[in-house]
Amino acid sequence: MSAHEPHLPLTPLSMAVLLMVSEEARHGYAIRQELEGRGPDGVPLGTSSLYAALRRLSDEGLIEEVPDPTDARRRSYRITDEGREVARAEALRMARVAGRARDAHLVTGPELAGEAGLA
Amino acid sequence: MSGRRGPQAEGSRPDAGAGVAGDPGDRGSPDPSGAVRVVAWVFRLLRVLLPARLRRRHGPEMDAMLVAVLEDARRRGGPLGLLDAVGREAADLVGTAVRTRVTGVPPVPRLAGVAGAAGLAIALALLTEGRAPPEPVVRFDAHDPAGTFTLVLRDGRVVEATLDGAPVPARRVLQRGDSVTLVGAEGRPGVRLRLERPATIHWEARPAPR
Repeated sequence: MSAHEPHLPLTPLSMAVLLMVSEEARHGYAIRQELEGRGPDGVPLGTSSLYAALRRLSDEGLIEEVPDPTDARRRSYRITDEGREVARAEALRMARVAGRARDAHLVTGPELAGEAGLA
Repeated sequence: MSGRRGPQAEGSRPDAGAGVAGDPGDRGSPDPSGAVRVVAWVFRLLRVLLPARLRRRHGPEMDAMLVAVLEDARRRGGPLGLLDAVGREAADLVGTAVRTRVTGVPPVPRLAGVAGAAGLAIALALLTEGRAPPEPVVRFDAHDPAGTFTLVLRDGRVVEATLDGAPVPARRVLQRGDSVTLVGAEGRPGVRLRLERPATIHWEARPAPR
């Protein structure tokens, strides 16, 4: 059992948030706008569920809060090293699930590659 | 070079306007309407359903996000848009409360009291909102070195657009808040612009085609 397994599987929202803050720190509102604006892949969000997810990820050490130097009430969020490892483990877990779906002839290899942007 | 244009009027110099994208604290948007303020106040009360730690840690952020979301919904959809957003936020709050409070559900009388107050306040807010005049339909006819385009807005939403005289299908009109992109067809130049109420648009003027 890997060190990250207690975190897995991540909820779709948790994974989406980790991916969102993996490149740069973002404010909660920016995370929400980005997640909701992804068309068919968008994640419909409410204020309460987003902040509950941010609180949980923060408590688990997967993201950290970055205070705003100009306003103590505002903060942005960024991924931690632990969060990066967990997101990576989740991505590999999802890839294994996709591989099993291919083995079961539910999808084809080219379809998977196309969806993953690897074609 | 940038453009700024009111409906069917000559342009003037652009202004900078927007703040940091995605942060309601920096958006520089006008004060929220009375209805939004009332609903936000009610939601502040309803947050008693959420764990105290979550409220203490993120209360001000949640307030700011809620006001921004509700105000955006009101501008886009009027009273019905606001009602829809209130319903979604209320359902999300209750669902989150249930998920985060496996134990320690608030006593029924307390819950009923809060829910009753919420219903009354939301009804008052919507009655107030319902008296506000609807935003008019606004039409823009604009041009830059790359060509012409038109926009028709209803309640802040693009309902019709053309590029060089050709209608732009809805799938090629991308609107997020006040940002609008008309995607050009098959290599033709599109246009990205920003709406500013009550009736002004800003865009980076496109170069003339070679």
